[in-house]
Amino acid sequence: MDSQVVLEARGLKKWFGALQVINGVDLKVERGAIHSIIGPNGAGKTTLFNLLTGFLKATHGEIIYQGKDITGLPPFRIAKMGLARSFQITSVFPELSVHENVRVAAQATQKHPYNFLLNYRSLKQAAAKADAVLASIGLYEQRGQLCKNLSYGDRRVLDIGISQATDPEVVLLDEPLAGLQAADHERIVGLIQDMAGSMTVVLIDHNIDIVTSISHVITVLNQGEVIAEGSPEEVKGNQKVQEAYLGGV
Amino acid sequence: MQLKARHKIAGIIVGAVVLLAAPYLVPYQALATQMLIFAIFAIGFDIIFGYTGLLSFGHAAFFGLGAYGTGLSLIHLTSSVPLALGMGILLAVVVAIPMGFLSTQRHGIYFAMVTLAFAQLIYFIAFQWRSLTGGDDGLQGVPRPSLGPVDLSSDLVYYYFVMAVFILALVLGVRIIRSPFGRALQALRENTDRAMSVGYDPRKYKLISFVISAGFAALAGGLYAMLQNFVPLFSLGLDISGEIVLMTLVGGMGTIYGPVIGAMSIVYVKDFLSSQTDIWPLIMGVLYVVSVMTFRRGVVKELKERFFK
Repeated sequence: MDSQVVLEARGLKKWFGALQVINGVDLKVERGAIHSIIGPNGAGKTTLFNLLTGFLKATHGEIIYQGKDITGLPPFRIAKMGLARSFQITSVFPELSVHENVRVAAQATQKHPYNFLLNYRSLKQAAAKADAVLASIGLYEQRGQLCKNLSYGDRRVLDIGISQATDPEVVLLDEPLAGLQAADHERIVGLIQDMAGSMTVVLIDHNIDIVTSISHVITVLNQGEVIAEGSPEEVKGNQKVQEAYLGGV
Repeated sequence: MQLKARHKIAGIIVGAVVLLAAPYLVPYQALATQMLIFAIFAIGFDIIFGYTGLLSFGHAAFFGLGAYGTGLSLIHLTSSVPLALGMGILLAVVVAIPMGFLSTQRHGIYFAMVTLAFAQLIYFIAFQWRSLTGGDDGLQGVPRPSLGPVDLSSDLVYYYFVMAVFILALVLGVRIIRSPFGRALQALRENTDRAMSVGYDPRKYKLISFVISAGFAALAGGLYAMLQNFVPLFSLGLDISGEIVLMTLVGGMGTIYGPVIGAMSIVYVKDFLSSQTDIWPLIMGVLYVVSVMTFRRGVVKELKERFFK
């Protein structure tokens, strides 16, 4: 077992009925890297994330995380093992406060659960973790607000904050820049680079400039298959990639 | 959401006065008791409906099982009130575990239909099993024994006993929703996928919430059996399942206090109207429609919004 590899997919396949969305994907994510997955719409990027995090069950193949086979485990088990994710469509807890959004995520990692008479406020660690995460993502000022009253950009950031709150080893970010204005890009990129200091980041995005500037490794997916993999320079120069995706840049 | 401390203290004082004086404020003492019994039911129902976001259409099953369990225990097994109430709760919980396990595999309307189907099943078992339950005559002759030195046979004394149980239930309900478990329920209600992706097992949490709410319903049912000295078959019926939903909605789901107020007012208004006119179900129907349309988020949330902001 290669100890540098923290997350690995072997021969992953996924059919939706007769439609094959993932067609034998092999993927190795190295510890500490920013590893991006790019590809045209419909390439299977989000499906791949859903397979890796247990939200979908693979038709074929296996997923190895930290040397353990996690194929077929439910999402909450995988999350407990330290594999976190954010969602392409902003996924937060709208009617809870900003602080509670992060706190409840941090709480999930603590031993507490079924003491019904314990006040949640007595879980000091979770509250402190939430404060720390909010400070690092720049939402501390808004901690008391209801999440639904945040701006779109802030909610996107909060979504990433929720993923961080569980202290994951690996975090999968599904198009964190989706729907954001260029002005907000810098903020998210800064966040991703911060996170990369303490965890492995797997990133899906469309923005080639940003992806090539921050990634260590890029995997290019097209029609459910890996068509190229390597450093940003290698991938940029790859003929197949240019045909399939970059349109001859 | 946060009320000021001043409002909180005022609320507690008003609540205490109303609770203590209630038997003298309503036409007859047993009505005040019945109001509190449904308030206990509503606390539990708000945990599953308001805080977990699962609309059950079968909670009469637990109310009725609590009533039959307590009633049968008092008739055949014991003269200890706490033990009999405990037996009612135990019976409901034993049924709630498989029922919750199966129904929480489904979402939304399908969850509601599964709970409804189970409740109807239990209703018809009670209906057919005459030798044990009395069938559609109901379970007759449920005694109301003394609680230690306290003679509960007077309606007034029994009211204060139920009031004490109600306060305990309210404190317990509030503590449950403020516990880490209760917080996780709200996260699951808000966004199940997100909660799952940080490590919460939705089925486990939903099942526990379901069983807890069944326990509250059964406690209410047991108290009801002792109040009436009788368990009517309709305690397991569809009407009760529907009524508890409306009580929770009218009062304001997800507030605990709202459903308590909703339950108490609906029991009161229903009693008042039915003593005045034969067409009371029609008037109740109109009231439901009007209150759900004007107080869309329930009375308690609307009042908070309008007067305490």
